[in-house]
Amino acid sequence: MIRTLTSSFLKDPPGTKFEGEDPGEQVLYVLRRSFVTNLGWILFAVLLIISPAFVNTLLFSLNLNYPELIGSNLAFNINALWYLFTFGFIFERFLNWFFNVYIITNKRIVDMDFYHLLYRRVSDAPLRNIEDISYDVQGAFEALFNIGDVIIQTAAELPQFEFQSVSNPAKMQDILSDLVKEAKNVQ
Amino acid sequence: MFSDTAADLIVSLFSPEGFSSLINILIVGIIVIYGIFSILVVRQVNLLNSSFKTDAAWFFTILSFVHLFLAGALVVISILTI
Repeated sequence: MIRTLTSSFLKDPPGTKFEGEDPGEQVLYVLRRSFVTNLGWILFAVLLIISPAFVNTLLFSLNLNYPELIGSNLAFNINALWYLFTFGFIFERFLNWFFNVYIITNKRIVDMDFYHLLYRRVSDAPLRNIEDISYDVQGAFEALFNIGDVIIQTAAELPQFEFQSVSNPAKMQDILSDLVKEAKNVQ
Repeated sequence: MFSDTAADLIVSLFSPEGFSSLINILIVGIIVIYGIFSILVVRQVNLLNSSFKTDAAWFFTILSFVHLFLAGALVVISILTI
């Protein structure tokens, strides 16, 4: 399960099903944004976790008669709310990363987008309708961690799919090209 | 008469006790709103798990209920200590 929770590239993921899956359809790959793209909010969360310690120490050191100044109950409520909010923030950001997935099955590609827990968009295209696959790696951070966008042109309703910030985009392009070739040959 | 009471109330807000009470009520209000948000999170996690089911679905469900329980406990504690 740890692998499921932290991996941004899963081949033949166990027990994975998605809404709208056809009978006989098999999930081959599940992709997400590279885990290192979470670095920004993880650092922010660390800041959220340690900041009450600094603020409380500062208030004590200023001889403001803290926490009696505002009441110990209120001081507890504020600190508890802060940590609950931090927990909620971490949970929401992780869910946002975890459920924004690109699924490749033996029949199609599926792009599931969830934004801020209250909005979701699901798009898909059959493998046989994929016409062109390219990728780009832009920026020092992306080059350092081998992260890039895989761009898929299709003849389906949605003309372009973008697998954003995936790890090893060259390998993904190769895998997708082989699957598309196979799907077109079967047809 | 009424203006005197209102004036007293406003003046009392600038005393340490009045200010503390105002902040207390404000924090309780925020905690209650957060409690409602935590119910939404449980509902949304269920929807996410049904849209994309993995072997970690139970883990997210438990975390969402822990979050809800903590928020509920804080709502009760904050109201009792107001």
